[in-house]
Amino acid sequence: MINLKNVTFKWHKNDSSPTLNIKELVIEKGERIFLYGPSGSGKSTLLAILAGINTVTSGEVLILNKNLSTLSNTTRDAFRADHIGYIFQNFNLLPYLTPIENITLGCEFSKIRKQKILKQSSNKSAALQNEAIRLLNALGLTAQYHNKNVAELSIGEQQRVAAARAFIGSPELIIADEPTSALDTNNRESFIKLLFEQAKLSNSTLVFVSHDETLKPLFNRSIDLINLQEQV
Amino acid sequence: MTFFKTVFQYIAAINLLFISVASYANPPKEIFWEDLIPKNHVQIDTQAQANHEDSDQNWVQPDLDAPVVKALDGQSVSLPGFVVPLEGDSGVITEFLLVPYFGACIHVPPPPPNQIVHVTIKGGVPIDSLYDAIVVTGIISTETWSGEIAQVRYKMKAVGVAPFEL
Amino acid sequence: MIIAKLAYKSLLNRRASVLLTLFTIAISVMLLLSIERVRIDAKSSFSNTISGTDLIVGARTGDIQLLLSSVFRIGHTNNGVSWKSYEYITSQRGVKWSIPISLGDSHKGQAVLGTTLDYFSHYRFAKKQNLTFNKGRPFAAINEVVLGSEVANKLGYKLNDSIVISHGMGNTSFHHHDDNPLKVVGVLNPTGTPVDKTLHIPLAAIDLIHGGKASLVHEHEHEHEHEHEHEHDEHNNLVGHPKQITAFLMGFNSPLYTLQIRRNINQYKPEALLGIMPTVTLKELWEMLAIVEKILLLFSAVVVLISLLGMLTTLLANLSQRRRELAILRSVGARPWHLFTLISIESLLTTLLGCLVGSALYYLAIFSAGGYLQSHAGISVNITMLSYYELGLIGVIMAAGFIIGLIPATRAYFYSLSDGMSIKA
Repeated sequence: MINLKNVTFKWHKNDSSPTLNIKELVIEKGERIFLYGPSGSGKSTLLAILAGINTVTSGEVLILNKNLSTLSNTTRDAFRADHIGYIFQNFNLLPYLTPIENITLGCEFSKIRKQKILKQSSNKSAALQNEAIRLLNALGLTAQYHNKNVAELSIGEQQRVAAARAFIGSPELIIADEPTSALDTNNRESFIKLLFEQAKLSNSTLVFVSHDETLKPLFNRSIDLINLQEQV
Repeated sequence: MTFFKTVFQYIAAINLLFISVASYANPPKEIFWEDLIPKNHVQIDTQAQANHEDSDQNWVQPDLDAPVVKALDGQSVSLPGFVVPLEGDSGVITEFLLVPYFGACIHVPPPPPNQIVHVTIKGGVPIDSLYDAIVVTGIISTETWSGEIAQVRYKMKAVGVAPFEL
Repeated sequence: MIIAKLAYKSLLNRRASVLLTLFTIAISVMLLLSIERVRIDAKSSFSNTISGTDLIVGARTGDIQLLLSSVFRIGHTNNGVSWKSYEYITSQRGVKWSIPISLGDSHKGQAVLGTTLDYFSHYRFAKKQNLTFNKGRPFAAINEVVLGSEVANKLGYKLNDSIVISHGMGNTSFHHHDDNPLKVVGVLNPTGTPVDKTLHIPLAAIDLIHGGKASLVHEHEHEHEHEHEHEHDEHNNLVGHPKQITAFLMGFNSPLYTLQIRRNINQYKPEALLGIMPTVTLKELWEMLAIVEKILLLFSAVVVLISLLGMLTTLLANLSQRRRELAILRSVGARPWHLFTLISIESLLTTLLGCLVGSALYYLAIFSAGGYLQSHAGISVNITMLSYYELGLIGVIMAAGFIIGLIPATRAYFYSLSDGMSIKA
């Protein structure tokens, strides 16, 4: 599903040493990866590359067998819309949309994801909304939350809405960038369990980035970013 | 009300377009003020006339003997001159006198009747400044008409007005 | 389209500051449209006041002053035309008709005009329309008065009412002609010109009002005896024996005469007189005012620009807080161009709403101020749909709003390019 080969990344052409230097990184479909990287290890850069925001200076980035480095900016943006769901650490939600609207935003830029939902639904006009509601309920947010003002939601509730947005339309890859760092310790594990549930249901690959090593045991595979990069 | 006026102006403009296209068949003859005076007529200098003011003169027509060129009657012509507005509104002038020179200052008497053209233009035409000379194109006619004094005069039904390029 | 929906929701969320910006724009739009409309309608009203008149003659004051005072009742002349000159000039060949007028008196702040019956047959306005009567008839006796439509409406006069004329042109006077009340015999139809604000009395009545008491008694007797027999006498009764008039209007058999006669009048030795061609003088007035008009327009345009800059300020200030929002949108697959469009639509929407509300306020303004303008300045403002010119003005404002909105939109574009999905503070 993800295959990085001889990837280097420099912010500026004339930088002496690259920010990222990865000989090889392979992630299979359906895996749940714990990507461990303290700040400064280049994890934000790696995520930006995986999501198609930035292109590598050299090497190959293959996601779903598509070489992102050869795609144009617009195509990469479309690719991200179609195949990747992204969860930030916090402030995931647009303040002027309801939780339901925030979730449906996840597939507004992707025909493919919209189609997946419409195909399964008989009520075409409310299909997206209903799917958002289904996800909210699955993530433990009952009806009273569905149209609530997002500013009134707790961090934990906001993160769950963000997760719903990432999963709607079943994209193949979910990237979660430190999604539990803002949650209190008790809630971290339960949130991760919810992610696993959804990933299984939508057949998605999950790449979970964090600097919190205590979460490592929950995952079936972990990658240490520093070890991954060649010693320069 | 102004809506209808603008619609009317649009229709007038389109009419003008048609007329000017039609007049391509008969391009207007360029004439000048000398052409309005018959060739062998000796035009009395109205300046000289002005000197006889104190006498109980004919106020209206110092130069009764101001014949017109009958051959011009009905012709399509274009003539440059200055505008003395007679009728109009804030946007356009619909009726005016066309004269050979600007201003009625005290030194220069007004032009004699065969050097004035009474112009009407359907739909009117906007005139920016009276100081600027324009060229009027249309059908010129010579009318004989008797009021208190038997008169002949030039009239023109104008179809277009353009700025005069020096 | 999702971007449009986002723009709308985003504005809705910030409606307090958006409404403020919107109202600023709306007020500036209202200002611009109103000023332009009053300017255009004032010009139009003035131009429509007199028509079909070849020459106006008065004392040698100044072209524009003579026009304004004799036709528009603005300002006044401090000298007049002697009756002798009037008779001499109007007896020249080629003169088709003439109307003598005498101004200077008033009734409850409305001007009183002394004239002859020729006024009702020959005075024209707005594209050669004649005066027409709503009620009654022209005056036929020395103590009769014909009212303009505004006078009748405002002061509530009907036929056969009695009116007392004051001397002078102020709002009120301490010199009344109580002994010689006049009877209302006619009310004119509205013309949209100063005629509406005027009371028309026979020329002879002016003299009478200024102290010809004995003549009135004499006239009354005369009237009773020879009611419909001597029309000529009647005319003479109406004209009286004035020594001076304020000005007179003339029409000739041919407009070709106008230039020569005007010159002769301007050089008339026995008396210092001035002849003007109304349309020409009006044009000169407009040319003089052209610079004022341009300045007015410029001011209004600047006010609009200021309001749009206010919108720019708000959008830019807001933008830095919205970088997170841009990152979120990027993460769901929005392109930088989408974000550019988002901000652009927001400014366009705000400007559009500002223009709509501004237009509504504009109609409100001319609706409520129209009456005042009509009665105090003789400017008739019509309530019509937006003219092409006004739509053009709004179009320009929309374009300006769009261009100004490009600034924060471009900023957003570059933010999203550089930020990606993270905010580098």
